[in-house]
Amino acid sequence: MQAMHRPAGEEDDALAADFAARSSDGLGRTYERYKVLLVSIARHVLSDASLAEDCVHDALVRAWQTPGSYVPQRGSLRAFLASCVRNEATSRARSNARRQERERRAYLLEPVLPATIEPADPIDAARVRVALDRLPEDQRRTIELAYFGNLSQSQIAELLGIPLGTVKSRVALAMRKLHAELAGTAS
Amino acid sequence: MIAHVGDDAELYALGLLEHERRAEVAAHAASCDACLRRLGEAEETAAALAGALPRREPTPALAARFVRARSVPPAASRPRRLTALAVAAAFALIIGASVYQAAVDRGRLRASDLAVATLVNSHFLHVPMQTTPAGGSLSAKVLYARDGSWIYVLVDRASGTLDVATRSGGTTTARGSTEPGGETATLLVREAGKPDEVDLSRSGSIVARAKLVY
Repeated sequence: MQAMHRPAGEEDDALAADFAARSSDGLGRTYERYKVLLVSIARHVLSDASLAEDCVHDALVRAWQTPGSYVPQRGSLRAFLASCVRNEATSRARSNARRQERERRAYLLEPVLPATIEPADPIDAARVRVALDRLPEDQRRTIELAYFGNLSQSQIAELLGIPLGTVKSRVALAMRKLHAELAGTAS
Repeated sequence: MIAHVGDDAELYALGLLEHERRAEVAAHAASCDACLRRLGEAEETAAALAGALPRREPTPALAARFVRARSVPPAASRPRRLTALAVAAAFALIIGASVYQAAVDRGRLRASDLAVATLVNSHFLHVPMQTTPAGGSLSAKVLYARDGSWIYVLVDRASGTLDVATRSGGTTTARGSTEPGGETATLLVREAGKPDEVDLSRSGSIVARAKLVY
């Protein structure tokens, strides 16, 4: 694994080992460690506190109960669980087309990252703002629509008037640039 | 086995892939060091993006649910979904009432097994629950004794705890909450008293209901 975006501490490493081994108290301690980030992710996608908590609960329990779902070679447990929750939340959101359309409209009316909000992780938030600003405009916009706007690939293509394949390649390129940028600024 | 995941690693981390493709990517990465590394890097980046989302605090109830989940052993092959009923039937046929009672006496059966055994030792009916718009993709059914001695609510894709209530005439009675058990959540209500209807709700909103006919 290359330089991590966010250096893991001893507690993170110990939790990762316990989670991978599915130790009896690993699930609860993992939840306590990452609960704010995970709930913030689910809430952003699902726009409902109760649905978000259901999503976090189910995603974590499933990951913990599935042998081999997480291995330390993949990266940090924090990033893995954030991905699990994000994917679970988007799956649930897609099943409700009306909610998705409502979120799309809301996004178009509101700024992507309002400066007044309290972020889930202030350290990452500051670095992300700088890294996003350094992306070319088309790539920055695509990432914002995908992650902060919760739009699907086809919705982004429609909104920006570009082919689906362009969305895909633009997202991947932007993410790799962000990775390099964030890895370079890891403290 | 698919080819290397390529750009789908980044799409995966952002939650942009459909379920089927997501499973393919995860399966491939599990056996390919290069793709696992690329996926991990994309997930680190996505997690950093998540740090810029508005901060949301969970309710204390969520922590309590993890305490309960901790007591569910992480088994590799627990019964899935409503196939638990088939397991229940086989369970009853194989062990018989006396053996079952002896097992209960020895404390070897869990509460869920107790519910299953009660169910298969009685005459019962079953009805699927009608999901309301608030229920999403939830799937549930009610099994109930003809003599009104019990009802058993099974919820597939439960996504958390749900509250069960019964209606008899104009009276609504809260019966408790479903207990998660993997992908299926259940609740056994004893001495149910032949209710007319069973309602399933989440946070006060009814997500599914069923009319019972005896």
